[in-house]
Amino acid sequence: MKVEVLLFAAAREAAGAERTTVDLADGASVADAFAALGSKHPPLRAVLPSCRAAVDEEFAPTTRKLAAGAVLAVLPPVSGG
Amino acid sequence: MDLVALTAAPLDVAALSASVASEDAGAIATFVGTSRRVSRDARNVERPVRTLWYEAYGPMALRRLAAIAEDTQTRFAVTRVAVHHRTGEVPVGEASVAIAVSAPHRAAAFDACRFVIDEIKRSVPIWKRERFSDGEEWVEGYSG
Repeated sequence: MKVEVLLFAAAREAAGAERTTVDLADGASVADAFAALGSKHPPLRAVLPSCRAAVDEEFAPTTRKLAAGAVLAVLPPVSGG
Repeated sequence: MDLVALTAAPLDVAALSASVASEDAGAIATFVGTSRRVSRDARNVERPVRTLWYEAYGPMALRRLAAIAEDTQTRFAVTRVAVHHRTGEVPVGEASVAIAVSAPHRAAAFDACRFVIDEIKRSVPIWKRERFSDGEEWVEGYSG
């Protein structure tokens, strides 16, 4: 299944893209998606370990299973406020 | 004025404060976060900041701000909570975030205001980038 991925801040710069897609097995998790992202965009590997994931605009643990059509976001450590 | 908003325009703190005013409230507390001129970069060297840039995951940031406002209403005896966060360029000295909380009594207003800014810094998908005269860097953020 294809999962759309949004990248922000340092993750966006490392990947060189605001959005990308990854091809995952059915029932794949956020952790699987992060691994796929690291393969597709090697510079992301240095950034991903400190990133949180959001699925459909809510924080999600790396164990969360993804469904087709889910929107995954890669969120580096936040610094708003 | 929406109680919770992201905006690229300069923040209007007076209007935000007015938006939470209520005949049930005896106190309005506000917090304004502003951009400092001097910062320590990733190597802990002091460098003057030329300007700041705030990037947001817009839809999720709004959701988180609304959730924080709602959580604040549950935890504290407050009347209204308003939060506006600026995105895009925020020049040194200008406000990046403004919070206004009204409550019957001041203790809850003060405490709730502090809670809101602490939660924003912890959980809202917004990132600050410092632009120096000779480069730019993402500010080291909260990674939970």
